[in-house]
Amino acid sequence: MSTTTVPPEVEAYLASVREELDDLPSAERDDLLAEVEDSLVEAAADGPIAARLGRPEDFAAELRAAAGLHARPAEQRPGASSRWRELAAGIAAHPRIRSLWHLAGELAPAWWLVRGYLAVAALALLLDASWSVNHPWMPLLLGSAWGGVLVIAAAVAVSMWAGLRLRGAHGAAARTAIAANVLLVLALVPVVQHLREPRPERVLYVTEAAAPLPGLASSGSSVLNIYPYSRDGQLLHDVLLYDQFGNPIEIGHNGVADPNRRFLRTAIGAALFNSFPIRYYEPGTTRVARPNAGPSIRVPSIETPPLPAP
Amino acid sequence: MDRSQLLRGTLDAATLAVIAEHDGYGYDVVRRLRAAGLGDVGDASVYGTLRRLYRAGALTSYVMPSDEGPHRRYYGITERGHEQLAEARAIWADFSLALSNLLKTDVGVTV
Repeated sequence: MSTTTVPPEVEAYLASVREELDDLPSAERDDLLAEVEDSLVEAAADGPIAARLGRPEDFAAELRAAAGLHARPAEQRPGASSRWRELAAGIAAHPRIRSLWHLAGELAPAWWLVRGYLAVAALALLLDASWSVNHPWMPLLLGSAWGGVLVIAAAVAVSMWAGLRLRGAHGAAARTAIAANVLLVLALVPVVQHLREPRPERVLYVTEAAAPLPGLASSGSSVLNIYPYSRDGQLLHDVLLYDQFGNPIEIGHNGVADPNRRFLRTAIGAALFNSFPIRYYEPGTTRVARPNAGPSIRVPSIETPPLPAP
Repeated sequence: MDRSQLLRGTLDAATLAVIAEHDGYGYDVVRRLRAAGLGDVGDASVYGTLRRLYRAGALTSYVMPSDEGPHRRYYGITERGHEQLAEARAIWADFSLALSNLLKTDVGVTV
């Protein structure tokens, strides 16, 4: 466009003006910029141009107005570089992003609801208000939990109203709304942290079942052996015991079988842990020293109720 | 009274008048308008106006090499521009006369 070097000051100014015109058709924009560039190079010789021409945005706006071109659409106002804007537009045009964006739009009312609560909760934290014990998420405001309910309801109503009002808004209102939303999202952190704090103890009585004893137990103490007697006082040997489900009642069936214990075995050699009384061999032998040993008991004299034979 | 509003409505005529005197390039037109008393005319307004008048066919444009700087895009007035200027002169004569009479004060304060 020009055969001489453009001073950096003019270069920077022109770049900013070009950015402000980036929504125009390229031919239109190039014509305008060619006019401006030549003139600015010359004007720069008369003194610093930025001081004389004002902000590039204002310069560009004046240029458009005088050239009879439409003003820049308001929502494209932010001065991000056009490359970023193109990138953002490219991402936004992706079908998946668009459907996500659409979904976000549909979910917006849910966020309006949440942010109403968040605003009140954050305020309660700032004011160091007390919180309801029964409903830990409810701050006590205006003197009671009902005050909290009232304030939250009002905040949600205002939030919904603002959400509906500002939907698709541009300019300062939209920027304020974005800033408020960002603040409220940040408020999530302290509020969630507060809600996750352990509650003050309310339950003072804890009933705790005693841990069950391993193996057989009777009246709270372990049963280590069982001595079955017939009703005429005769110690029985090798009696197999089963519970009400038919499961063997076993003692000592934990881990390795004691090598000194005398086991009844099945045909394939599996030890039965439910045969009583348990007898022990003399160490290193297969001999039980006193097969009839047992606790000293006295079988009482018994009246036998009739039990029909099966 | 807002001078910038007045200027907006009359800048086309002023620009055409300056170029009708003799051809000029952008910054040259700005300087000549300022020298003529329109000290507050904005550079961007003039450049925009030149482009618009050129697009409307009131101006022609040509590029001339310059020794001390970049090529200069000169503007000259066309037949159509002359017509537009004549029309503007007539309107302004009427308008300024009417307004001068209206705003005249009998205490002799000059504006």
